[in-house]
Amino acid sequence: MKRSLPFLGFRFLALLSSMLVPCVVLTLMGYLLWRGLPVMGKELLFGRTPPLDAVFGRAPVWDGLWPACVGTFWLVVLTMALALFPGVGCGVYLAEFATPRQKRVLGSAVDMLAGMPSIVMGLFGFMLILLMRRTVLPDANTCLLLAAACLALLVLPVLAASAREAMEAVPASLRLAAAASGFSRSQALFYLLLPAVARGILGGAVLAVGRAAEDTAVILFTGVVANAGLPSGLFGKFEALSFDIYYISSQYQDQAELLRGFGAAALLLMVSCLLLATARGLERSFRRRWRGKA
Amino acid sequence: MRNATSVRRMSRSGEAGLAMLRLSVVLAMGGMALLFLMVVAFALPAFVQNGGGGPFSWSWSPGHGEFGILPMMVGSVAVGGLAVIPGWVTGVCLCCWLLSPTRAGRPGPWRVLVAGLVRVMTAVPTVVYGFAAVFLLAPSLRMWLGGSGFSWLAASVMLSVLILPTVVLVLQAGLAPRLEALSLSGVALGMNRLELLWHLVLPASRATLLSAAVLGFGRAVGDTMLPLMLAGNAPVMPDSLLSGVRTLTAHMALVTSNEVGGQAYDSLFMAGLLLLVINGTVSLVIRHMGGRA
Amino acid sequence: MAGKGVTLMEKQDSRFVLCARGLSVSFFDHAVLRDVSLNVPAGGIAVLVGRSGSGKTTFLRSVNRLNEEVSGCRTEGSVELRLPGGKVDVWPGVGPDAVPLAELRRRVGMVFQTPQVFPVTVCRNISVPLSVTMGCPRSELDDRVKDALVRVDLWREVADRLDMSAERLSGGQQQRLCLARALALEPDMLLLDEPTASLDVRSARHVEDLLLALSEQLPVIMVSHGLAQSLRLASFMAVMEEGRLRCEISNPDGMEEGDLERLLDGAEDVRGEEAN
Repeated sequence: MKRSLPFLGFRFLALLSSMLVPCVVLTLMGYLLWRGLPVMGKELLFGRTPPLDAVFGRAPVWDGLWPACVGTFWLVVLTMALALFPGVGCGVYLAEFATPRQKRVLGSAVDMLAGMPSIVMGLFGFMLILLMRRTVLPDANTCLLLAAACLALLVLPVLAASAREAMEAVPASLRLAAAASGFSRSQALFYLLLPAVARGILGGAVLAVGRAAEDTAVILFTGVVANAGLPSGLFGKFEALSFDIYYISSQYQDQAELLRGFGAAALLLMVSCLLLATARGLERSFRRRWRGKA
Repeated sequence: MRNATSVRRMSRSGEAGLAMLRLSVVLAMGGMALLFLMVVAFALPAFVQNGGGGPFSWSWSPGHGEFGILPMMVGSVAVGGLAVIPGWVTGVCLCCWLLSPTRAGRPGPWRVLVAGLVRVMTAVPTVVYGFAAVFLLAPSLRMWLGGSGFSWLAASVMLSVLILPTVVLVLQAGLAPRLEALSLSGVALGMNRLELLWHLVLPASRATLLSAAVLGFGRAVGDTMLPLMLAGNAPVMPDSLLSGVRTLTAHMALVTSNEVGGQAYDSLFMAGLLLLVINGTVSLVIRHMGGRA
Repeated sequence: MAGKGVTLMEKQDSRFVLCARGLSVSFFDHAVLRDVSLNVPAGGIAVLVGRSGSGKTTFLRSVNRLNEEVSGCRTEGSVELRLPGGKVDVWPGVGPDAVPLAELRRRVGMVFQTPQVFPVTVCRNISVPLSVTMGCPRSELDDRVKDALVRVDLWREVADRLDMSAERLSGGQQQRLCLARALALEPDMLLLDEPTASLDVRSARHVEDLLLALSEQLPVIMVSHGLAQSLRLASFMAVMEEGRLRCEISNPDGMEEGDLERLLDGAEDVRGEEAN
């Protein structure tokens, strides 16, 4: 076959992109790590406060990332606590019990939610507070719980999609064998299928943790501040790693603060990659299990 | 039956489980419905309001009572559109390269590495991309092309990096099965996989190609942090690639941090509704074309 | 010969363990079983033979209504069981003798072609169905698990590995575990869908011996691919072809593989690969 000019161009572009993309990404990441890794250490987290005092909240940390880390941690924990049940339940229901019509309607609803920009979720939280101020709670304010609720809405489609996929990956023969042993559909689901797909669902949950930890736009609307210290409670303001990065990039006062920003960016990058690797590992071991059986 | 009661008890526990699942669906859908209702309900008053200075005008100047968000609308589309072109082209090329190993059947180490890197890209927080670009891309642009560096171009370049993994993964999911179906007979005809992709698979996959582009556009328009950190945020129509623009998302973030109530908030809600409509349309289009988000 | 089923059908005798009348099953309007009437006599192993796609498995699955788990299924006609515990109206399942689906499935145990162990431990493979579908109290579980494993001659091999994942057993062990799981539920009848098809010769023989022993205790209906195996095990045979019952053989002793093969093929030429 004669090779046409457009094809040669395409082949050149394909080769080029295979070089260009890794270069760009590795440059960006390498730059961050190059600037950020040297400042890693307990200085970065705790500044000049003694670490033990900071960990137990006995002394405030002004020049370290510790409050932001704690804030992000609680944010993620609360988000998962709020989102796991509806998200996973929704996915399992879609895979197991939904009629074709429900599948179409609920499925497109979940897809649509997945496509929503995160800032819309943030705006939703902001509106909720405005509504509450106008109606029942005049002094309602944005807070940790609200941010977690909005983030829960953000990660819900991630959980639902992964639960649904995991359920649909279970071979039909297992369901048949369960039915032949006299299990009803919901018994088979709760006693056999859910334990079997737990790893797949867990993989999705880890991905969702990553989404919740990285998102900035949602918390921007729902109560994140730059100098809150440790979160005071469910209804208090909080700091978060992702917001600190943004804040430092636009408002840094001195070189030390800038370096802290690089440290925070490198830290968040590593946490995200670690979460992704965990999720992939779980997913792969889940897939291997069913492929090995087939 | 000897164990009739306990059988009944067990089956009731199954029923309870189903009820729990139903509850979870109701919760999820309820939250979602509430979100849509709130955004629409808050944005409605802005429609009713007439006269100048409302959201649908071309000038944003809160000091003069002008709250138009049309420049931001244009900004969003401009930044998103400019990001999609390189992002999509690179995505298509990269995806085809990933799908066409030279050695029979098995991807070499470089392909495995790049494929892994694309996966990693999905996990990189946008704020981290933004941070790196603020200190790497913007100064370079300032040095080479002049201006402040914080510009339409900077935001679009980073957004194209951001949407690249989405584009590649969507394309891979759509193209790989078609390529596999053809590959054996095609290779028997003496074509390599890249030729198969170019001559047979890509022309037959118009819907997949389009849905990747639409999905990429949706993500680019919906992202907040990159435009906020890189685009310069001038609330005017961009007149060159190096001028600052403000997108709807960045506008929303700026309004909440700078303004308190009044008509500025109306523009905020309006911008939210516009985003909702844009991305809802994107989802519907994708679904209509049979691709998956 | 196809008419023989009709004449037998008229004798409503308790000699039969299963009576199917005018049974038709289709999936999405594609007919798989067409008007099958078959009476299976009690005692020994009844074997269904036929080429692949002849509807053997579908017939077997209509006995415990497992076809309904597959979407697009439509069943017509009637199926009735005369089990030791009394008459059971399987399909249409509306009369006074009808039983709930879960109970039917428990009383009619089934083993599949490929071993379908649940992805849990060896012990829980048996104990979970026991406690879920029979509501068996926790204190009895261990004994019943042991009994079931002893009955399938598996206890010696796995006694010290009960907490191991069942997926790590060998194919033959997995299949016997599935048999044990079915037996633990104290079924009144066993359905076997080519239970030895995915096993090697030795494991297959082991399972066959078990089945012969079991058939003394409860009725067994089995689908088989191998003609030699069918002849070894069967005390009654039904030959199926393209969704129809071709003939019944109530006394297969003394038949040879060649005879059976000619029956399967009708007038067509003889193919050897079936007889492995």
